[in-house]
Amino acid sequence: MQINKIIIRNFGKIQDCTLELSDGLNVLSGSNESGKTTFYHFLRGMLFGMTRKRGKAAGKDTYSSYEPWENPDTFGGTIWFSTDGKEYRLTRNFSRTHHRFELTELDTGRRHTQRELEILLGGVSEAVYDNTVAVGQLKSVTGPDLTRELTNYMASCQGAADSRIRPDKAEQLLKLYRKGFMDQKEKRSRQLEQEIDKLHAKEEIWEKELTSVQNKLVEMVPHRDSLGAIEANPKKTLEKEPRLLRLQKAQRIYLLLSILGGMGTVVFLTLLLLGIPAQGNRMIYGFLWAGLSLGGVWLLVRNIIMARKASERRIRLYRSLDQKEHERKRKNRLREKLDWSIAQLREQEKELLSSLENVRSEYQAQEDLLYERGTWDEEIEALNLALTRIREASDAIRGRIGEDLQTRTSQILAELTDGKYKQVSLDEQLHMTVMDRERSVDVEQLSRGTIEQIFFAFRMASAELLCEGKHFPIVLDDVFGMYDEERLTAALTWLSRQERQVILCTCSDREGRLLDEAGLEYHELKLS
Amino acid sequence: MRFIHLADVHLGAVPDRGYPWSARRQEEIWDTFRQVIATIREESVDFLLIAGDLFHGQPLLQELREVSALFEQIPQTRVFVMAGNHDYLKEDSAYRRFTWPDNVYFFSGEKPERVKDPLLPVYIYGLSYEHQEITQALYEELVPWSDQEEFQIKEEDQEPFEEFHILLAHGGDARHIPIDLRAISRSGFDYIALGHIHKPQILIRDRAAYSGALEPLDRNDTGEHGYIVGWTQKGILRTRFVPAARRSYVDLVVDVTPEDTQVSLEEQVQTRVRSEGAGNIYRIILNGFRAPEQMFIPERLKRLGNVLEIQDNTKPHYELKELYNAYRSTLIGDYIASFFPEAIGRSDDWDPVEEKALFYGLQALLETH
Repeated sequence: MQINKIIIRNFGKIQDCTLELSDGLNVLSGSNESGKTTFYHFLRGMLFGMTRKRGKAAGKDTYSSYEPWENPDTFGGTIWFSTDGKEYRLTRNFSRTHHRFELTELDTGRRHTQRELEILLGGVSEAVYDNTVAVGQLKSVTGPDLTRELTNYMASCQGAADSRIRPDKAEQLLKLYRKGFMDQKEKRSRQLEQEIDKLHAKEEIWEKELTSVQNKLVEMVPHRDSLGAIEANPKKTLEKEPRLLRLQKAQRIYLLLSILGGMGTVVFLTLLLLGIPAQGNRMIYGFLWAGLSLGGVWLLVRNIIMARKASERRIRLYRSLDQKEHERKRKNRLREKLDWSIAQLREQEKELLSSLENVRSEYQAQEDLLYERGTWDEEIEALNLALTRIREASDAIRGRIGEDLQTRTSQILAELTDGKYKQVSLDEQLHMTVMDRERSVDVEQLSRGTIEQIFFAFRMASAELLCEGKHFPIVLDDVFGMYDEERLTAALTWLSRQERQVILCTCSDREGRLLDEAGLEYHELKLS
Repeated sequence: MRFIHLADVHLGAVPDRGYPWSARRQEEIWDTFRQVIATIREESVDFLLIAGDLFHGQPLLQELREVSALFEQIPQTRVFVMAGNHDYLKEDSAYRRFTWPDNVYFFSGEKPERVKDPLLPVYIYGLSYEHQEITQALYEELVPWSDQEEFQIKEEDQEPFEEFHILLAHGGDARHIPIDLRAISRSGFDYIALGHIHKPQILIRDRAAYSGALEPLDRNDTGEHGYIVGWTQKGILRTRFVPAARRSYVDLVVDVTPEDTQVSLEEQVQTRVRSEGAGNIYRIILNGFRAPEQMFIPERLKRLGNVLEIQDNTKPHYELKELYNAYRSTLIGDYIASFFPEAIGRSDDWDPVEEKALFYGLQALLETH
């Protein structure tokens, strides 16, 4: 691709400026720094468009920076370019009110869309253009900073195909976010675990209580069982006592007999006094009377003794029964007390069992919460995915271009230094070494000029590789300020040998002079 | 006739363990239940229907005594209680050993029963859970029936009062007595007082409803909570939901715009929390687009009220297609493309994790840029 003509209609501070470009080397010398930068942004805007960013970012974006103060409606311009043997004219107006895009194929007059422009640009995106086609210079001044800038730059190019993208920094940032969410998750887990611990502590207390209740029951129940059922109040047991009954019966018989004896004595005595019995029988009657009365008296005495005995026995019996009744009541009281205690304990046991069941199901519910996905889980998962994808994409880029980039950089460096340095290598720890004719040299030991050369070689290699064969014009913005004349001549010679168009922006006349001295062809442009 | 239907009181529950308001919530569950009893004491209510899960777990005897003492305060009201799946009748459940006051009827088994009210021609049907899960549709076969001879002859000057058949039911999902709404509507009950589902919902207007949990118990119980009052008007039953809960769980959705900052976000949340009620318990959901360079610290919103969790769904305001075009063939371009197997475009059924990952990575890459 080659740019043939540029008309800047109204862009930043430049109005109605026409530049005719040739193939090969074009040297654009501007009166000041801002003019060249404006030119660079104009070209980028023309190729990739320019929109105003939203929100706070809008304040400092390119659009706002170059939006003209006067006639903002004519914000834009036209470029003529040729690619793949066809010529095109591209006109853009960036202003919001008069926005315009017009891409015309000059031979056929056919109009093309923005999408077709993207295809014509060979898929080179704005970011790739910024990185490769438009080449600036290293910003750092001192040695270690310079080396760091260069190695970071190269690492980013190899791992991200864009020197400005820092996958390592992005990774750090993502890990920081992840840490935040993990802390939250941790906090919540701790909180839940504390709650679960509290519930477990309750469970333990209740379990102990339950054991002590159950132990008491184990002691108490057999004791109670051994006491038997509660005894009912015994009634009239005294009267049924057999020995007493026998005694009473015997006594009654003696009483009856003594009464009969007494009655017999009276009958016989009466008969004797009346003289009824015959003389001869009187003795017999007398004896019978005496016998009867004696027997009656004996029986009476016997009866009295018996009655005494029975009454004594009764008293004794009453005494012992009284003792038994007392014992019965005492035992019953004990039984009742034990029954009550056992019922109490059983009630306690049931309450404790219910409490335990409740607390167990409660801590199970809390444990479920512990494994429940929280909002942070999704965030952590997303952050992990982001980290993986960045790593994968970066590895893919490194695999695709990393090695070629180093090979090509080494080649260009050899060409620029006339074979003095070759073989640039950058390891994974971002440690860069360069082979000179004999040995491997640490980049820190190289002069600033050589570092600038490595940087230049690397950028040129990136431009070739990342733009995938499309020979994009290279815009070099004041990159040779730090070069000595020998190195500058080598670089200019290398550039003039390239097939692609080169637009070299410079503030000094050094480049023109050296080109003239070396007898190299170039086209001079003035930015008015 | 006038009744109050409530359910899922979950006495003894401790909501949101570990959060500062947890202990207070445990109290409030009891307080609100006491408040309902106090309300009944002042108004004349014939029936208090408690459709299961009065307790959060197995009731303790002391808890039953407490509840029983409350019921004794409303002797004019007949209370019907059933055990639900949470306070189910275990073999040695305290429910089984408890003697209720005269005005309380407790359904004591899984076999459906019918109870005739001693005063009004009202029949209450119900059962109690004896297991944590019942997969049989126990209410399916149940139809109301009446005993002709029990018909009461009304006095001339009295408003005619027809028989009422009320079913007290708990469950409605596959593992807790499945309930077929159509079968219910055909069954002929005048009112079905349902429990188990914590969100109040009317199944058939004035005829079947879940009263919902009296107090919300966790973050899923958003919306209003309370009980249902039913009354007859010229023989026709009317019902009304009465909010009674002390607090609500509120999903506070904030639509973030690219102009928002942490301060403006906090102000918005503060205002919303004030207007919704500072006592409520919030889940804050941030939706919308934030400015790409704006990172919020959602944790700081937790100071603004009772905040359970914050869900940050905001996305940085990126034009993916533009970004992709600008960074094609670089890490950023390749990274974006890795989330879109086909082409750059937004599909509606995007996995939220993928979407979040894309924006996280993109933001990190662009920020360190």
